Amino acid sequence: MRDRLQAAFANSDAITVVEWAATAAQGIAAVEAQAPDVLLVDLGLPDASGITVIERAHRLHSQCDIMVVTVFGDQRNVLASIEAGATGYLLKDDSDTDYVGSILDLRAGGSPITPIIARQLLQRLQQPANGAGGEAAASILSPRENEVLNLLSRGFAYQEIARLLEVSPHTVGTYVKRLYEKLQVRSRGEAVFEAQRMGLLS
Amino acid sequence: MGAVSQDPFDAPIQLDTADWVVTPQDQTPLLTSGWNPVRLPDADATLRHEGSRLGDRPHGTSAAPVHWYRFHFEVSGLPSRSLAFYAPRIADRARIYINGSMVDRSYVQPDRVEHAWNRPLWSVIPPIALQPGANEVLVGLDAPFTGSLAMSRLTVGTPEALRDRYDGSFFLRVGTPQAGAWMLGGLALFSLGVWAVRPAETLHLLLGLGAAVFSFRLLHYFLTVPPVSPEVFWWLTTISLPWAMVFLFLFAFHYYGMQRRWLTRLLVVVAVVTSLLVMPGIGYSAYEAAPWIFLGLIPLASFTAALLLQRAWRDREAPPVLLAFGYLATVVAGAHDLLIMAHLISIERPYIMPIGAVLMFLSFTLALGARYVQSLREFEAMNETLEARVQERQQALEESFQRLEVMGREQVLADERQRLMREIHDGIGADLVATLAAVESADSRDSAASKALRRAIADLKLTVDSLEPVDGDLPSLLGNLRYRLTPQLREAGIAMEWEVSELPPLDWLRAPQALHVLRIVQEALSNVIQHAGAGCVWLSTRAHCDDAGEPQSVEIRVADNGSGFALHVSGEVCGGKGLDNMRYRAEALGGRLRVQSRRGIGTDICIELPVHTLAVT
Repeated sequence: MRDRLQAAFANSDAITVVEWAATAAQGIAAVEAQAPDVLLVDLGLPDASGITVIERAHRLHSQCDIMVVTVFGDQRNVLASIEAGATGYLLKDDSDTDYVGSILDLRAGGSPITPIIARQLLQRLQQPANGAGGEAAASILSPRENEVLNLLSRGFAYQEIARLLEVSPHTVGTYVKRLYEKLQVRSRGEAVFEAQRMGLLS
Repeated sequence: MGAVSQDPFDAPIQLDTADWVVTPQDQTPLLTSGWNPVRLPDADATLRHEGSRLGDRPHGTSAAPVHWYRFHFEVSGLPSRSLAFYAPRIADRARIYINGSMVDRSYVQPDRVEHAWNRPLWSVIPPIALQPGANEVLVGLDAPFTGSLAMSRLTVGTPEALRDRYDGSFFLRVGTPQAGAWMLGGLALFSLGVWAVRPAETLHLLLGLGAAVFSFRLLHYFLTVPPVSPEVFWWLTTISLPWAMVFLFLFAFHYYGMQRRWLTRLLVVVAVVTSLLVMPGIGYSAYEAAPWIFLGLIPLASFTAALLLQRAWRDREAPPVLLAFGYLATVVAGAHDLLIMAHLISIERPYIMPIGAVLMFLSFTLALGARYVQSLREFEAMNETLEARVQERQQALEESFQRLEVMGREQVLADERQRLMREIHDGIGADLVATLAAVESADSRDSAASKALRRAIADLKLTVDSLEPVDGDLPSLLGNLRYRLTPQLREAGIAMEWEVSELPPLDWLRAPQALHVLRIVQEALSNVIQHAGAGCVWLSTRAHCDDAGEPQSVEIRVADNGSGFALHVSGEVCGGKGLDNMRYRAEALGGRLRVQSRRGIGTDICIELPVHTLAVT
């Protein structure tokens, strides 16, 4: 995987690799030492889940775009990563050009999404958060975001949605990224609420 | 005087006048002159003789003056049958002489007090004591203890003609108080027993005490020889009335929740002081003070009566009405009896207080009973409500248990799916990708190994997608397939026209069924990519509703503008086998597959799936 990425990045002027890390511990150390623009994290690290690296990086570098590298883009891994702070993902078997393109897309503000993840996102962001107050939860999605997520969950491509809503495909990508961030905020709020409920926070 | 010329054997003769004279004890007035005519009934003999209503009482058995009433009646011929004397009421001790000889007396022991102040007179005279023509009757009355005398009209007749009158009078004057005393005694035992078991039931205590003292009160109507001295006996029977009134007053106030501690104390103190003031050996004679004590009870009784009446009027329910009725009965009886005592109405009338008291205590007991029944009903109603609530709860619990069970089962399934996903993801998936990378770095991307690996990965992706929880949402599933196939479509230069509408959730769409659906559509799209040589593929969905507007089935259509089946033979075979598979899968899902293909125009595959039918897989 590393080789393929290395090969892909070598051909690109836009991307410079700051550091490679083989384990979660190395990754965290690297994140603490460096301030990268983009961080690619594989979830299946030998010593710990990539999620811990994502969380650490997100806390240290809020401007850093974090992408999770996954074989399938299945909702469990992707959503967990997004909740930890990721805003994009790379599928491991995508062709070489896709890697660079996806990274640049994300850097430009657009996140990828699969219909099933869009559906999950729609469900999670629509249902009221536990104890976070019904009003805040009801207004968490704007009508336009709701529309975009709805179309995404039905399998429409960015371009098609952009045509339907008369915006640029890039704008759809930024919607997705913003929705990822909303999910992050929300899951953090839920965590706080849970902690309060359990008496961990006063 | 006092002579009547009718024959008592023919019809009873009522004698309402008599001659009256007073002698000392142990003397008969046979030789006495100075008889005075009096009208009967006569209750003023003592007043006339001693100047006061009760005289210089108590006179004692040996010193009490004897008041004689003399009557005459005529008998025609030699009497062969008995005659009876009846008077509704005499007071107190009586002895009867016929033609100079004593024939009867009301007492047994001359030297002890034997009360007979509330008794009818009944005496049967044998024919031998009678004589033809005029007969003289003497009724001698004395009152060794009470000093109060009463002589009512004397009726002479055959026993057969008079006995019923006597029995009726006896029943009212003696029988009723006897029965009443027993009844109240029993009631007192019952109420006090209830109170002993449930000390919180103050009402039962008060009713029991009231009944107990009232049963004492009733003793003086009929007891001739008291077990204690006459002074103590009269003291007890006199003060029992104020105590009874106090208890009844407190009962009424408790019943309506108006009890005041100070009032209770005040009443008890007054009752105790009164009792002490008239106690033998301490103060006034209870017997003489009785009328004043009874007069003093009038305000208390009026107040109680007013309260009970007002509540009965206000509530109009059985218990309050019973209370008011019973109390009023007693008040009326008491007033009636006071009028007799005051000689304002005939002394021949019976005292009816015993009847009033029995009525009152029966009503009060009934009222308490009614209240008890009422509270029982309320209790039962409450029980029913409680039971209903318990059942509701039980049902809710059962439901939530069932929900938990379902959730538990689903959780197990979800956990299993997660485990499988992790396994695929970290195991086979990672391995395949690594192998693919190794193969591609060594060979070209188009090598057979690379293609096989890519197909395997794509297939795995399909499986992974089918395992994702989509809650029967077909568009998401199709969307994900499109997402997966986009690179291939792009590579083949085929445009995708995506016309997926919102569809009703398919309740049977779980992982195995989802995989079937994905494979059908994937097969259709793969055929387009590999064989059709199409420039564009349309994927559209539609829901079919029944007449009621309820969605019954959904339709997925994959159409292309490619060459159609007949154009390529190899495609025919390959596509044919693929189509069989697709048809088999669609039928396994309870759906149908329709294929239309026209040479040069394209292929149109339509998959129709039910919304509700649970598919057999």
